[in-house]
Amino acid sequence: MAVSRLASWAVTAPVAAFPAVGADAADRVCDLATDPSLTLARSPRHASVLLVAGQLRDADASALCRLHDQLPHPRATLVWGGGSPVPGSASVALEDDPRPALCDLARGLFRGERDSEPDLLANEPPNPWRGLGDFGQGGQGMMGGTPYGRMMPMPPQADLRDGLMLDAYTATVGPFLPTLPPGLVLEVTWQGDIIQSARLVRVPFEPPRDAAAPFHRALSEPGSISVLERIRAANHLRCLAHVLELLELHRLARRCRRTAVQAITGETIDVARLMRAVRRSGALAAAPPGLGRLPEEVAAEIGGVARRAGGKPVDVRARQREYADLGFEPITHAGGDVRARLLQWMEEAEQAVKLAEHARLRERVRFAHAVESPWGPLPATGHYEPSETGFDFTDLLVGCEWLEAMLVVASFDVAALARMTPRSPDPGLGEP
Amino acid sequence: MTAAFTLVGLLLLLALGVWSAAVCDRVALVGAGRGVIAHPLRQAVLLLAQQQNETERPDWLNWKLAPPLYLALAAAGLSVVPLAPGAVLADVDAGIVLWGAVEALTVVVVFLHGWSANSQLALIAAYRYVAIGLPVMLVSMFVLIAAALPAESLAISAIVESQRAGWNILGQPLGFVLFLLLGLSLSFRGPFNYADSSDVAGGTATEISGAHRLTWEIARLAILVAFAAMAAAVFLGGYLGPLLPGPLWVFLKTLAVLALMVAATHAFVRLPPARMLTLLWVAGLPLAFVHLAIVGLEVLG
Amino acid sequence: MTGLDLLLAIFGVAAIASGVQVFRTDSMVRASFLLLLSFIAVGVMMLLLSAPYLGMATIFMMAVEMMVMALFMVAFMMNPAGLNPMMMVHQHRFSIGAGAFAFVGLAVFVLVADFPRNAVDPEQPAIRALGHELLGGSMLIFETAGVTLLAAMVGAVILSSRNGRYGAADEGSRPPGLEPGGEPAGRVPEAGGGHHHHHH
Repeated sequence: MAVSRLASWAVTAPVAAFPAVGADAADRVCDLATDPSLTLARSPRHASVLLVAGQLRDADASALCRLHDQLPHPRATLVWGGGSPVPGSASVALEDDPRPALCDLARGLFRGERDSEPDLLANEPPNPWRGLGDFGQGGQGMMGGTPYGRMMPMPPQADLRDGLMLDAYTATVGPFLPTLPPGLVLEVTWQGDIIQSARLVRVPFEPPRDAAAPFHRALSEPGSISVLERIRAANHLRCLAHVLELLELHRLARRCRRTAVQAITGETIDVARLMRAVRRSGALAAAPPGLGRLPEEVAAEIGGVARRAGGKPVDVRARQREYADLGFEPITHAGGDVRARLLQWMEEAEQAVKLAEHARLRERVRFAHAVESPWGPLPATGHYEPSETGFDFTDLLVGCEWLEAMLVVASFDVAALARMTPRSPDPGLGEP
Repeated sequence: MTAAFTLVGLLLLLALGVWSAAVCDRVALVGAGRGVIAHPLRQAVLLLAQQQNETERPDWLNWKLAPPLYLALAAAGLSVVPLAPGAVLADVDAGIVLWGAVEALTVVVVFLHGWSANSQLALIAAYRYVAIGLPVMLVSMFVLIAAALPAESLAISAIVESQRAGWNILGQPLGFVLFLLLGLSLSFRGPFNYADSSDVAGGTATEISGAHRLTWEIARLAILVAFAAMAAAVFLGGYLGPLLPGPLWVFLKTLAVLALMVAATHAFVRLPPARMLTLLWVAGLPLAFVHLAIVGLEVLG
Repeated sequence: MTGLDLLLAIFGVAAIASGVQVFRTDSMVRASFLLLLSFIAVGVMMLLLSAPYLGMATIFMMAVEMMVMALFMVAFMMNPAGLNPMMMVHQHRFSIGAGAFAFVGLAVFVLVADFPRNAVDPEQPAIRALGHELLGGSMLIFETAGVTLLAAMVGAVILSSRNGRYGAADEGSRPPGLEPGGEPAGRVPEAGGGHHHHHH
């Protein structure tokens, strides 16, 4: 029959899944994106399956319910890793491959074998309506606001760019917006597309545990330089891939992700060629010079890539004899802005792959006091605490246009973002 | 009779062009795998099986009407392209001006699509697109006028005929490069994707799904095909060429321009809107003026 | 009544109807685009009356202008979405009167005037004739004037924007004092920025 023939065609299309990324799952979702039989959608409206990956926080439950209801019918939820407040149609452990389950769900949905999931929330507007007429324009006055209180939108301040006063619009973005790090929730006030102010509501999830574990272990027992450097290269490549996605270079982003997967599995990879392709596309020209410049004292506190991108050649590896034997020199760039951090990621990834190849599996290193992880110095307590300077990264976003703001946020890894939060005790910040 | 053949030929060109552009996009992104030729059909069926979603209080008329209007504009743009000497569906004397109207109305339609969804990210995308789309349209009009100068007529068929002496791409290479920017902007792809971009979670398409989304994506590819046919006619000589019949040359040249567009989509970065605006107004428009002046002097002298 | 007359009547009514809707809608963006619809209807009527260049040029120019007008209306009315419903009309009694008067006057003129009935040769190059009629021998002057106007407009916007070339524009633009080193002469702008009209 025509319907079943059509349905069988729909089933062979790549499965469109929207990832709701939780703790310890960011790397796995990034690796999943390299599979051509799967499309990770940019908007929940474009997806058929909601993929809840990793452990979510209690505070994220309401956002997840709203996200779930935004998927068009027929829809299903796959819980990957067991930490979801929303019960899904199927669940897979975090260590396993979710792709067979995704295909099964999609096939069931489109063949009619499986019912579409019903709405989790009631279909009502969140605020009760008070006013005359369909849009409240039935009251007195120009805005129809008397006596029901609809005021003329008066902007609080002039637009930071050219003095044009636009209505201020405040909304909360995150925790599942694909352009932001997973778990980050910001309350943003826009005038047009310029961010007038941003407030941190919830910090992003920390770096995945299984990627950070070898670096923790290297403090107590000798670890293989090759493995450590490959994890570093993979992390930098994944961060770079995220930035390239923002800049609409999807093919290059895909190549970066595939290279990151190959770096972890230990195959020989040619990062230098990939970096040349990134440079040729003009990706570095996209960040205006001086965008997201980090003050020196904050960079000193954060350490890692952000500090070296500000011009300070501070790297724990420089003090290790094993690295010096391999000819290691810390890379630095001047400027401390988005462009410098991107270049830092690119060149450190190249350097890390070269070190891994020279070291092979024989060389081992044990770090004495501190370890240079891909996210800077590892914290003593195991959690990334706000820095002593009390610097808030949302200050860097004020006055930025939306794409520039996303670039600023994406140019920091999640550990740096967790460090650049205010110290005031805000309930809800960083709760597990 | 000729009109019927031309209509069928143009519809075939549109269908084939949309299909090959979708296949080229898929190949450029994930490489040529098994079943890539049928990929557009599979995606289309998947989208048809999905529900068309709603937002809270959108402007229904504009929202639902925008994709068909976009498709209609693509059809209007394609209707002035000649398939053979005398085989033009709409042989207007001012074909270039019709293209100008198509470009301007495209900006309007994309803006309405983003605005009427009543969604913040879609709105930002719509406004950004207008800011970039209008200067690109200006650049393209100067380039088209320069291409019309050797023909001394604004009709596309006359421009094609004037290329018997030599294709316009040889005499006006800068014009061809500037004109390609228009193609990227009309269907907002790659470096000019300010409307449906990944940094605003899909832009004007962030709230659409199902048949609505399918129509929108087909319309995007259709306007790209219309642009490619126009570029083939104005710069690559249209139906002129040895051995093969005219319409086949039009098909081949259109497909060549489409492949070039898909390659350009994935090759260059999308700059922040402020930087792109600076680039267009400071570099693009003056270049277009200079190009027009040079061509004018050549034609006069 | 031929098919052409019928089409002309339909598009004429569409132009008037969408023009009326401009004032009855409740959103700035919808008002701008309803006006565009009205102009498109007029453009199509010109196409039907065998003035293809004028018709398409009208549609082209009006599309760009209405798009920019929608942007500016929304920007200066401080409402980025334009979806905020508001009463769009002021002084409507006077405007309706003036509009009706103009309509009656023009209608009388159209019905009473004696338009020429010469048949025009369809092969005549209409665009060339139009060009010669409008611009004559001054084509180059018009072209350079157009580019100069564009440069002047862009320059005016840049000069008046807040981020001047050498720093914020409103910081440097204070007149010198009457005594050397004294207070700047002239009106001191209010601190609040001047938006004190409250509409409710």
